[in-house]
Amino acid sequence: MITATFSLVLLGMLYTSLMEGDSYAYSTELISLFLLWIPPFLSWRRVVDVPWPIILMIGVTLFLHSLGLVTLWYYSTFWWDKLTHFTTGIVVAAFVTMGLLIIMENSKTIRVQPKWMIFFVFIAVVAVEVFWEIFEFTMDNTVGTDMQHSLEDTANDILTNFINGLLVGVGAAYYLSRHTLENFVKGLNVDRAVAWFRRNLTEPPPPG
Amino acid sequence: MRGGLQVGASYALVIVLASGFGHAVMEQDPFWSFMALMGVFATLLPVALSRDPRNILPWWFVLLIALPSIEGLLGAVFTMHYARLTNAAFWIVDISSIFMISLALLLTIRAYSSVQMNRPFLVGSTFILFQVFIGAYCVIDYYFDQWLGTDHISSNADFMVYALISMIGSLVLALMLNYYLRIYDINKFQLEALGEGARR
Repeated sequence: MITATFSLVLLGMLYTSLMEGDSYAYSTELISLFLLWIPPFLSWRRVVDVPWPIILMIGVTLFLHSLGLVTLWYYSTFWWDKLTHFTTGIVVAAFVTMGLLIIMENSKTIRVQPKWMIFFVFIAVVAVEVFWEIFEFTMDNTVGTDMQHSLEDTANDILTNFINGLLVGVGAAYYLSRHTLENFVKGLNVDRAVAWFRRNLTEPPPPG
Repeated sequence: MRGGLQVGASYALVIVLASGFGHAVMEQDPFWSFMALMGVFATLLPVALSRDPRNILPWWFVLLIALPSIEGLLGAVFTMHYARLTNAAFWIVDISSIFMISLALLLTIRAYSSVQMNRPFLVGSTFILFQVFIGAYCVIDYYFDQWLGTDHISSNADFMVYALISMIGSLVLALMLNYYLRIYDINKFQLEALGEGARR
């Protein structure tokens, strides 16, 4: 339902961008539509059931990004870029947290107590942001895209994700102090994916 | 048990780190001031948590952390603006120091908190914490450049090349650490690094 609603909105924006001949905007909206349908696809393939608040946040983020391109608010409103980076950071932080919780639930040798989740989510989110900046820089210098603008932009983006990391880390710690990890991971239906990882990516136990 | 000479060497290197902090402050270099302070913090944290002065990090560990401070102080002594032998040496010194600070902090968390980490998680977290310090480098130096009118990061490309090479360097160090801990055993390494005060 959430995905279908945001798809309709994005299709409307795609139509507008096509009419205006804005190639950057319509290619972005096409990619956004593709990204929007990844969680339902993963659920259909029984890889993971992404919780609905995260799907909603993905929709909001992609909508705001496309809206900024269609209305040109990216160029006229100085805080639009900060807003979309903030919402994107929240989505990335939520996925990082999900990954960490899945690893914790399925490992006998990793245990992270709720209060320490703040630290581990924080460092993971900031690291993802640094990787993203490196990716943008590499793309700009190899493919010729125009993803990075200035040092100020880079510093602000990283700072935004320092805040995102802290916020989601505190949120995760709060959630885990009131719910069991087992129930959360059970709701994600990741058994099939975990079994695949165990089969293909972990070392076999020593003989005997 | 570590000998008195080894513990003394570690404390001498802490003094070098503290001097490196002073030098970086004089040079108006905010990131390396911060990292020198982090180095002192990471080195003395096991001492504070175990309340045993012998549980300081071993001298070779502190030496790797203190390399940029030594480099900065040498530059001051030999009246160069900053001792930079070659770019490669500069990268190795910086990357090793930041990586060892990250490792020291995570090992201390593993030893003195209820957090349990296996080898891949410890190595992965060290690699990730390293990237956080690189992110902090951009934020701290950019805002201080604006505030003080200095020019530590002259352009976006300047920072991105630093971040890219640092990421590759830290990946190499993480793979080396992973291999080392695979053959040496993580608990033995932790005992050697943090002394006998560790709870686990």
